[in-house]
Amino acid sequence: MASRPAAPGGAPILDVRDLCRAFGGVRAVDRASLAVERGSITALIGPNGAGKTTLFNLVTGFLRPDAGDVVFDDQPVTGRPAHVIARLGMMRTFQLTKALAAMTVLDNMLLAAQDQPAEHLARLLAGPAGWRRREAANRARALGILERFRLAAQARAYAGTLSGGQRKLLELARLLMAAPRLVLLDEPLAGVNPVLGREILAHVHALRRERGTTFLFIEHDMEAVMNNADTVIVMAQGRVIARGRPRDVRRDPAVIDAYLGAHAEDTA
Amino acid sequence: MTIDLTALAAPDFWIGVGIVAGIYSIFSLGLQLNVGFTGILNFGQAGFMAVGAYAMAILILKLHWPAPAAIAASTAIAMLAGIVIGAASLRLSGDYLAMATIAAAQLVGGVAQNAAPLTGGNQGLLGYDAAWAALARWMLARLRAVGLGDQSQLPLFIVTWAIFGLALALLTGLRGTPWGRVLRAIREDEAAAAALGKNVFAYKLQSLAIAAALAALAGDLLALNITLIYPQSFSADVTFIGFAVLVLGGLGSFAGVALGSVLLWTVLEAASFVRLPLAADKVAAVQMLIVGLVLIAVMVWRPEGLRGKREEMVLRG
Ligand SMILES: Nc1ncnc2c1ncn2[C@@H]1O[C@H](COP(=O)(O)OP(=O)(O)OP(=O)(O)O)[C@@H](O)[C@H]1O
Ligand SMILES: [Mg+2]
Repeated sequence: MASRPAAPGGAPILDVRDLCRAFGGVRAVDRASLAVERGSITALIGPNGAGKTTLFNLVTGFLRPDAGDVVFDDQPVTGRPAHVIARLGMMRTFQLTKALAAMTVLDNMLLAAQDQPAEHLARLLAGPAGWRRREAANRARALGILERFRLAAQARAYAGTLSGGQRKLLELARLLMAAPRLVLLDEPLAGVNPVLGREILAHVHALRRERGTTFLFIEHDMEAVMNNADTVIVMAQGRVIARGRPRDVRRDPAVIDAYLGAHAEDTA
Repeated sequence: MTIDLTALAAPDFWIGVGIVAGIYSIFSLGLQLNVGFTGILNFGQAGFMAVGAYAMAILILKLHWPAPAAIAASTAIAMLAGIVIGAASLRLSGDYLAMATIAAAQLVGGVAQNAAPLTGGNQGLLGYDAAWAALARWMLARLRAVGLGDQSQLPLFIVTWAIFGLALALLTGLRGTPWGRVLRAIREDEAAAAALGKNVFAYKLQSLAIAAALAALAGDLLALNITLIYPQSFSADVTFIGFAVLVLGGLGSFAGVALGSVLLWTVLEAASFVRLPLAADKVAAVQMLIVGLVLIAVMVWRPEGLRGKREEMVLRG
């Protein structure tokens, strides 16, 4: 569990040490440690209730850890607010999609741009002229990304009119607009039809190839995990119980045990 | 019960209605920014209104400030109050702001009642409008040239709606900027906004401060209209009517606020011509009853309000 082999590309982009978080008596995350290699596509798997989403929430600042450390890109970010961590370049999606339904698809995209000074009242009032040029440039960039995600036709539609799978695509496209260095995806394929699922995975691979973006994704679809992840991290009962290449992890007795154990509990 | 509707035909009736409707429009613009565009529940808007009106009156009467400086300071003080209350409660969940604003408004009312040397207690304050009266006379002289010199309330009507127009233009302009877009995102889903790097707390504070400034301006105008302010001028009923205006006009529409306010105050003031054999406190209750009936009528006819967007209402769930 404590083995964190140094990535070939140097220090890991995300380094989590002994992270803990309890809800009442439930130790949702219990001294979890893991590292994500720079430029990797890493999967985080584990039975229901293993603490995967809670770990995401702790790492991205949506929950405060009871103990432990989070280091992103050599900066300690433990307990920092979510928006600060996002701006540092670590962004996430949510298990329940958070496309902003009453905003247009294009506004969803523009919202994600990180370089619009007129988002700040003081700068907006101080220099009300320049932001429109930036806005036009961002709009062009957003439409280009939407084109690529086959959402351009819906650019002016409310995001709430998109299908569930399209909303997941929009969430990914929105992240692309923000250009983070590390992306955390919470079950990107859940509830998505297979065709759209393959599309989403293709985008993930393309983003890594083109921009070197690192991905950590939670997923229950084992086939998708085995075929797409370089590294698989396995959680059970709040702890990281295994880490390795997909084919090795699949044969790990501790992993088989955790899944069978969870299954036995489910049916009990 | 007797009804005398001849007054309805008189221009000064409509000017009077217009002033009150305008004041409530400015007041409710702030609520619209908070509730309709940021998703925060400000139940203490009448408290900020009281802070503004009392600050203006006290600065003029006790510190002999010139009226323009007193009005500017009154909005600044109300903004500061908004920031303090927001800073104390906005980091917690939304419900705490609602409670904090209610409590703060109660506190303001209590201070207004009990700090008699400063606020006049239940007797209230008057005599702060000398500078305004002089300006109004000057305006009336100009209006006389176009044949409107005998409408003594016209200057306040003009100033009130001019301020509303400026505030409306400013807020409508802001809505279309990237800043306004972040507010809309926060209204819909705070976590999504934070995940995209937006400082939700800072935006909510700004929204609350702007709303407080608008409440203070409305309070200053109300003080000039009624020429005597006392604690009951800013009771919780004022906030209630503000919310009624919001719902009537439609959540998420700044211009709708003026429509809602004019509609509501036309009905309220027209209803006051129906002379019921009732005590004064019962009349206030009847007023609230009328507000409720107008609300129900509009909600049945148009659930999204006069100018709200039904599509957004449905999509936001
Ligand atoms: N906000 C919360 N309050 C109380 N308990 C919580 C909270 N969030 C998570 N838990 C509990 O913590 C444990 C871990 O939950 P978590 O959502 O992290 O699991 P998960 O691995 O993401 O599961 P799944 O695969 O079903 O999404 C569960 O027992 C859950 O009930
Ligand atoms: Mg989960």
